[in-house]
Amino acid sequence: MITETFAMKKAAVEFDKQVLVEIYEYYSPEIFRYAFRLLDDNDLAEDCVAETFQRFLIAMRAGTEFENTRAYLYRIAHNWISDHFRRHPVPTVALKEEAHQDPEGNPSQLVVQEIDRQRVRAALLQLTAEQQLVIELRFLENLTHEEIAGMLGRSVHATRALQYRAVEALRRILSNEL
Amino acid sequence: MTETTNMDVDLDPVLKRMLTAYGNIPARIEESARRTREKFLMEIGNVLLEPTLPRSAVRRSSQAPARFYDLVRLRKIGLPAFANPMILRRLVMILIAAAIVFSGAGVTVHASSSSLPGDAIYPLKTMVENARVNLTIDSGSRARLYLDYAGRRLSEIRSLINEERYTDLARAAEEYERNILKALSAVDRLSQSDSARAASLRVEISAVLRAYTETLSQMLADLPADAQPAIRRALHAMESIAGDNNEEDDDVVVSTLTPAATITPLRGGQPSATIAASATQAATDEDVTNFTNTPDSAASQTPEGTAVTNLPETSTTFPAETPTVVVIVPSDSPTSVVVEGTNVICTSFIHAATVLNVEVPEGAACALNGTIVQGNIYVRNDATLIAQDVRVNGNLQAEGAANVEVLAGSVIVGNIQIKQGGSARIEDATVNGDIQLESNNGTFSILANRVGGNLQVFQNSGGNTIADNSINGNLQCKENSPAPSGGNNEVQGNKEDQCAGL
Repeated sequence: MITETFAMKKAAVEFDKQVLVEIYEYYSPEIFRYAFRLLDDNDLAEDCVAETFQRFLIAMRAGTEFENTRAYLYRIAHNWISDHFRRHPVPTVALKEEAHQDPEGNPSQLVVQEIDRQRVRAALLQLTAEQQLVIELRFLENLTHEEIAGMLGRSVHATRALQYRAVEALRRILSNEL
Repeated sequence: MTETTNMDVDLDPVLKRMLTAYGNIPARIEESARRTREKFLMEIGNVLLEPTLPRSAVRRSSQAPARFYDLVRLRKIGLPAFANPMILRRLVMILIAAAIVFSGAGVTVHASSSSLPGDAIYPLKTMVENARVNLTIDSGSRARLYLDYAGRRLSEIRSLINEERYTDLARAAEEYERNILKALSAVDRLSQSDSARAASLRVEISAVLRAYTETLSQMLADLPADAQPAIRRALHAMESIAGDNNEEDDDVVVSTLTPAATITPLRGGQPSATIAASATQAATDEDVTNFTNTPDSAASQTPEGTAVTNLPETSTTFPAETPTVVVIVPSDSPTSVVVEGTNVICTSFIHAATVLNVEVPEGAACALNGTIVQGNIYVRNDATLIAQDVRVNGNLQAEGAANVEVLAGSVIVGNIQIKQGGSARIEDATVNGDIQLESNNGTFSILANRVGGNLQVFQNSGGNTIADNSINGNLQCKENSPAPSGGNNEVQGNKEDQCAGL
């Protein structure tokens, strides 16, 4: 429904409350998903979302100019998450009692899924911000290369290259673990 | 779920399985989502009602990240109802509903901007208008803004008349008068600093007032007798204003500016802050308190952290280049005193503030987090700077610094120059200009940055890693010992010398 039109950005810059709320409505679910995947905790993820949009408001108020609202929001969220993990290093992979259930799955499958999730989380946290972002956007949010390129302000070619490197790095980290 | 996803295309089955598991998350808990949303709505309210600077222009931030809106109390800007989050929420619902209904074509409809006095969401329109005024520092521009708003009130009156909503007329007429008066007091303020401009604005205003008066008179004709008083009152007010306005000459009563201490110009910095005059006689519900003068004792170097400002008392015009305000940030205290929009000598930290230039003096350490630097950052001998998520519109220059770190999504519009120093880290940054590291003797890493210009690494000792960068210009490395290591740099220009293989 909402595309990032020029009118929308201009209105946001002029601090139009209505548009700010629409921005929140539109992007907060996505930012929440991003945060939840990395943080694996509902309250923390909500904190991250709250903080991200608050900082966004400050930036708007300060007249910060940026190319792309969505990318900016991800950037803030990423910084928050990095800060969080700096203060609370990722614990070693441990199985959680209530693994996120796949109702169709049998118990051993659930265990495998949970292990996978923790491993991927730990691995992603070792990638750079942009590598993390490209993986999130490309594979989990299913954006096209063009959309991602637009967000990152890079060429489509560079984005593909970034994706390639990110996947390689991810693969390398995951296989080193074994 | 049978459609091909990106994972199908680009990943092997194992990685696909693992990433799918990672991506699978439960639905967001409604209750906490709602709470987060309410928090956001409250913050909008807070930030919207905040004037350009907090009441005390000197803002103290503590060890916890400083957010200026924490200092804001919801004030009596005449909208006490809006302190109530419930009402706020309901209004927002209305707005969103309106937006959804009307934005089928993907165009954002500003429901509040077409509202009329008496409508539920009309106060929101006022709030937005007030916010815009607060964002306008210059009195001349404010005057124009108020004139513009007065014009809007006239359109609203016209619409109310067309809809025969006569009971709401009084409110609209009052608002109209209010805006005219505010325009005039803004011009009064302007005349204290720029009487020539104020005089020409007054001429403009007279013309506009005449036009408005004519419009109002015409409206009178369309009104039934019992609805006329409100408009008559407005017309009457206009006549007396017009009378006063014409008599106005340059002998406006000038309020004296609050005297304060002296200015110490920033070493090497450009004096470029525009400081609006702070009249001691402020309009009722808005101060032009952009930079409050602290009536302070004296001396040019003040001790801890007082805002040091000085505005010439008697001038009728400000000098073309308003002198720099310098705030000394004490090194032994955990707090950081920052005045928005000024140059800062940083010896502790600055969080989310907008400042002009930043200097980290000799031997000091400074942490910037989310700071916006409109000018440059200077890091002096033996000093340390850690900058995260900053935006610097100018350059970052370090000479002889002990350690310089630029991290976490920072954006430097100019260049980064780090010379004759110790260690450095530039990671995950965007630098529109060049990055130059020269003759440093510590280790440094330059990782995963986007560089618009060149990356030049000359005559450094101590070892360095240059990897995963995206460089539009050249990657030039000469006479470093040991040679740089790293790899995976994407370079549009050339990779030269010691960095040929990186």
